[in-house]
Amino acid sequence: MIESRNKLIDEIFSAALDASPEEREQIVSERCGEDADLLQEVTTLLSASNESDERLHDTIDHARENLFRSMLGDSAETGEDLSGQTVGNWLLKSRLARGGLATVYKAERADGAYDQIVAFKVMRRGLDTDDLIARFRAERQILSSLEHPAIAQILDGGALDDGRPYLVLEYVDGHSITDYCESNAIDERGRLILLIKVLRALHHAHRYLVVHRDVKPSNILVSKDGHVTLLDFGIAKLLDPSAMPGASTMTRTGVSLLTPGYGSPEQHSGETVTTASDIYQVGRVMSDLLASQSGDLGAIMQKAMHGDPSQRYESAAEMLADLRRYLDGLPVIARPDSFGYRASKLMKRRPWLLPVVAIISLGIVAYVTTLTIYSQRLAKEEALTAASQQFLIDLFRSPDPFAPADAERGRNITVVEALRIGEDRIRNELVSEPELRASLLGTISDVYSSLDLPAEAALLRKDALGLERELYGEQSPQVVASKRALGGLMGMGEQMPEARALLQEQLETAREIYPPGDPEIGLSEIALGLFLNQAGEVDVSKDMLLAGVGKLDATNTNHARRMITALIVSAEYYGMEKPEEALAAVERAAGIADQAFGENSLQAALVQVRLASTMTTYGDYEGSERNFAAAIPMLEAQLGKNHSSTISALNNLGYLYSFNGDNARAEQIHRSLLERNIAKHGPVHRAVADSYQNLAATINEQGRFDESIPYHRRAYDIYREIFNDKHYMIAFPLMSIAKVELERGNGAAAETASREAMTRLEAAAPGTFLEGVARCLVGLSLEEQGNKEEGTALVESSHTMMATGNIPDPYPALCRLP
Amino acid sequence: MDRPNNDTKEQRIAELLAQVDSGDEAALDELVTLVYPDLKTLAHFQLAGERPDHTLNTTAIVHEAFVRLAGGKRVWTDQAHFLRAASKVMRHLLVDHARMRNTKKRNEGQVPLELDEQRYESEDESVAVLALDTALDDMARVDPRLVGVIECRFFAGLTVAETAEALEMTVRTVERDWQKARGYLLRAMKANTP
Repeated sequence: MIESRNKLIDEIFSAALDASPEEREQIVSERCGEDADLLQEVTTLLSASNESDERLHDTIDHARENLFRSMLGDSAETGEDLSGQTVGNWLLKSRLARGGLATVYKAERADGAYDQIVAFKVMRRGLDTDDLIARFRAERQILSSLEHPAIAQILDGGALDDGRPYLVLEYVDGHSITDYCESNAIDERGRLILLIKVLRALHHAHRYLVVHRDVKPSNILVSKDGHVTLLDFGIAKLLDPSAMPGASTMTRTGVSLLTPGYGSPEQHSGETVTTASDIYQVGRVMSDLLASQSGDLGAIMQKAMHGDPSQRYESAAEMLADLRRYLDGLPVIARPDSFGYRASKLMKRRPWLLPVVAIISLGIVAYVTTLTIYSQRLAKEEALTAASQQFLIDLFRSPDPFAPADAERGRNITVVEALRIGEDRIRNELVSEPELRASLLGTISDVYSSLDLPAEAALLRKDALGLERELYGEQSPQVVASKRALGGLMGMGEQMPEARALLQEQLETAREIYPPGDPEIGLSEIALGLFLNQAGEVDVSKDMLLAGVGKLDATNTNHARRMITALIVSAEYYGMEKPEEALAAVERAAGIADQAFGENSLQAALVQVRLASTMTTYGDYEGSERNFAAAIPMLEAQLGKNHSSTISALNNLGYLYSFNGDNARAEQIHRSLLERNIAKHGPVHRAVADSYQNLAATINEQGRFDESIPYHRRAYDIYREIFNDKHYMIAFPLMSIAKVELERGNGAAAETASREAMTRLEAAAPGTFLEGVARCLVGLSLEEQGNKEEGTALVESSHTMMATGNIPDPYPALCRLP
Repeated sequence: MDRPNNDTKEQRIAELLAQVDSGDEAALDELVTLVYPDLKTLAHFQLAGERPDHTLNTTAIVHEAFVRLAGGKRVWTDQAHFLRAASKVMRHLLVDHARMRNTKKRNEGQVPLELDEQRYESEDESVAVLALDTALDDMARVDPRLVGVIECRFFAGLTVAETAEALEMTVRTVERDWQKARGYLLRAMKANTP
């Protein structure tokens, strides 16, 4: 009876499995008829058959481990329990887990010196053979070499009285990545960001030649606040340094960590274990975490889990970058067939151009200006530099040239006061030699510029340029350098056309007077490239900057400042297609800065800000926030609160908070930025408009629309004024306003704003995804007012244009992108 | 290498493998007893040493144990034949062990062990293994082919491709059978564990 029932269930279950998913339901309901129990049985089986293998795997893994353990006469429930005992500085509270090699206890400081719960891991009795003790030590060594926020830190280590070694590790209060995601209903994006954190930690380990080899959900713990920790380097292995190109050497433990006989597929076929094994395992974790395994994500997984290790991602950073690209809506390298499509998508993707808070890219301008000026100053002839410096030193020593040196006043005088006195001195022809006068004017201009006083700097630079023209002629290195500096100083103000002309001239002249490939030409290209970048001419700008960087790089100069500048600029442009190289470039720049100027130097802080911003871009928010937190106070102290480098760092931190959903803190930052920018530039300036726009966006995120709209209006007014009524930026506040009005149900107001945005974009950015977004907003406004037919047609016709770029949330959903 | 009676031992193993494959329970017992000491040595390595990758292929261990037992020689004629027998050995060992643990637990009561917060491997799988074994017996009457697939895939940890080789089926069929088996296995597990 039961058997025939089972057979019936099996028949229906089998038939349903063999049918297509669409027919499945019908087959089941037809065959089960009125029999509710039968239906229940079959449905249960069907849904279970679609679950992942994970639970089965875990069960059998544990069963196997217990079997083996019992073979060794060592069952999991019994055995040694050291709870209550004190070992070294540590009081063992309770037993947490028993692994193959060790038992883990929860412990705390025995002397109560501080409240810290730790994980105390001690080697199990009977396993303390020489080679295993050596391995345990190897884990200690491996962990001490890895310092990363996502790798459990080692706090202490030693040996019990009987000689067994123990380790004291950071205690991690969290759940396995799978449990965490399930119980907190983390969405796909959130899951991918967790994986990115795992990959960052692995990348760090790999750079120190450590392969984890046991990456699985239960070894990845996530705390309540989303912090990720990678556990259990118990079977991690030090790679042969020669196996990793470009890796620095590292002392090996001298212990053979491999047990011959069985191992991973790679080991089986006699190949060495490489970082590719970890990539494979991350791919597995990814497949456990994600419901949808098709499309680009499926391709990423497949590439990670490729049977042939050489076909997997080459590094954790490369896989990370691909996940990042996926999140940013860019083509992933796991699908090389989409390569051709990339070029067009690439240039149109400027997420910060949309009405969202993100002006990371703008930050670079202030930074590079600062550093370029330093390098120019150094490029000056020695004699003049020395004379200029002497002049400045004299100034500080005796601020009033007609008065004797006054120590008290010298101490209190500000740099700016001193410079003004110096200026007077030069203008009053107290410096007779014209060469020295030109050079001094240039130097003081540079100092003004590095103090972020571009107007003053430009004035003096113009005077210097005039003198140099007379002294050296138009085709001289001095004139090239001054035009370069002046063009950069005039930058984005009303003098844009003049700045452009100067920068073009200086490049032409540089190409004439310097041999091809000379780094001076590189500097000229970079100066023009940065201008073009700001002017929105991205394609030309990119070519220009990369050419410039190539020249600086090729000269193999050991000039730290130039190299740093070059690396930072190139990172900005690698960023779009090669994030891992971008990060590597900035990290290299940070290393050079630390070495050349000291870790607490202003220069190091400036590069640290870039590093932080780059980390934001690639999803390492903790690292990013850490670097910002360290650098910003230093910038404020050394450059002042309103210096453009300080401001851009703060802006990027604000972006980071927005991106993490901490809108209250982001708002605070943008308010402060607005204040600073107004104090600095006056009320009508692009930076002020950007601040209004960003501030309004963070307020929108918090739903306070009445408050945000006036700010958007303010941004709109300023953009119109400074861009002479013709620029795509003018459309941004309009689109924001349209979106807000739609959310409030004001279809008519939304229509007015979005129509204007659409008209402007048709002129300023025709055929781009921006125009598509505006068009969609018009369509939605019409729908909102009941004009369904025309509205829907507009929304649908926007899709083609929107396909040309990366559309940030919430537009894809809002515009019903397929 | 210098074990005595190597020839007879090899021969005996070869015979036992064949008998196990044709369903001889007594032969299975004898095979397990014979291979046990070598398995134990390997288990030591397994626990103390390398855990090579995420899905441990147990058959590799059994395989290794048989090779050691036979003094370094391969004593089976075809791989499929061997894989099937090795999978049965693993099922036998795992179920036996689970039964023993379960009995012991009933007699002693649950041994208190604080749930592990750091590694949370807490759930006792012996109940699940026994439930699965029972489900497997039921299944033998409904769809005997599934039993082989489950022994290979689940108990022995063979991949789909290896399972296809062992059971001389196509990969597609194994995949389809495994989906069905997964339904039964998970249902059995859920019905028997909290």
